[in-house]
Amino acid sequence: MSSIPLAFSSKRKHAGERPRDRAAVPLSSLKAGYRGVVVEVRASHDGRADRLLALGVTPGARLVVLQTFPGIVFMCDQTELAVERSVADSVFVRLMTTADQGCDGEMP
Amino acid sequence: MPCHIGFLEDSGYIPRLAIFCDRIFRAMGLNGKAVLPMVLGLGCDTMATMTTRILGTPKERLIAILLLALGIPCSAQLATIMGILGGISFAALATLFGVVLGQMFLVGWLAARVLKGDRSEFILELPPIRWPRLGNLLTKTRLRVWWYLGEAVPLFLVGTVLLFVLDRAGALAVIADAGRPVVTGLLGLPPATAQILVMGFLRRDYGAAGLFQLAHSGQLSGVQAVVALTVMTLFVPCVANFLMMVRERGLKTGLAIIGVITPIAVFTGGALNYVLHSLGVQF
Repeated sequence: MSSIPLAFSSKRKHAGERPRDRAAVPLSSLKAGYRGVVVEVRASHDGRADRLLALGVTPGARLVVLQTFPGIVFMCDQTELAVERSVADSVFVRLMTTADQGCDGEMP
Repeated sequence: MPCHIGFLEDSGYIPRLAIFCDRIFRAMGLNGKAVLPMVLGLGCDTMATMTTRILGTPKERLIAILLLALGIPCSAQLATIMGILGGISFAALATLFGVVLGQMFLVGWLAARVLKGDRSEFILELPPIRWPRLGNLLTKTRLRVWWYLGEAVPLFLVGTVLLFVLDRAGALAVIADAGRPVVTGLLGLPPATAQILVMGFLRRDYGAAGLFQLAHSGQLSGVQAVVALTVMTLFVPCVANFLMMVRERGLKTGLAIIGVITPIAVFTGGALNYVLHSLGVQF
């Protein structure tokens, strides 16, 4: 699990409480190419979590970050989604280690 | 036009454009999704006003409708702008679009801060990029055209009837006379443009054609053409668009939009006329 701290972008500070899963990081801190599993979608206000859940961003879903500029684009299971940064702040992801990624053949 | 938009939609291009524009639109209190009504507005602002229904919150819809009415030139106007300014110079064209885009951004930025309400968050599912299927495209185009004919054309008829009645009652001349001092003084345009601008409100394309004639008969200088077209582009669009705004947002909001846009259009035109003259610009 030594690779996980590297996933933090040290420049960005994320306000608010820590996620329940200590190893989870916000989606917004990931760079393109990172893979992970969604562990928590934090409900902030007016149904944002509902919309994400409806689109398949649920705990357990696997995702790959495709690009982070101008918007954050990621593939979540079979769905390609684009979100703005503030939304990505509320999605917490546990990164896959290199070994996990190796046996993850079916991910595009 | 519906065919081209359908092609862009089916190819998966528009959602990507939405991601690209998200940041710019966020400054105007919208999000990337607003790119669809804006692109459609280049075809017809009346139709685009209807499509603002896809936006998340009432505030976003209102800002989008305001910006459509203010800055997005419909195809009739685009044709006039290109037809008149294209024959003058590229600098004239660039001036017009620079002023109109700048004004849109400014008004959007202010509206985002003045109006109450929230912006919805940008969460968009991206379809894969693929070559559209002709059958789907044709079906979509057919449905759109029918929908458009049913929803928008009656409003155009109302606009035309209104134009006819006003013309016959002599009200058109009265309004044009009332506007003449502003048009000749502040905007520095020939007196005949007053009537064209009024007609342009009732039927945007008529106004466009009138201006085209004026330019062709050599009655407009380069600067005058730029000023006149800038005012017309910024001006509240045709009556059909106004009626659509009323239908979407209510009479009060519709009148408020007109009340906001008219002074903006006139004063921007006046300022542009002043600046171009002080700098001694000749297109």
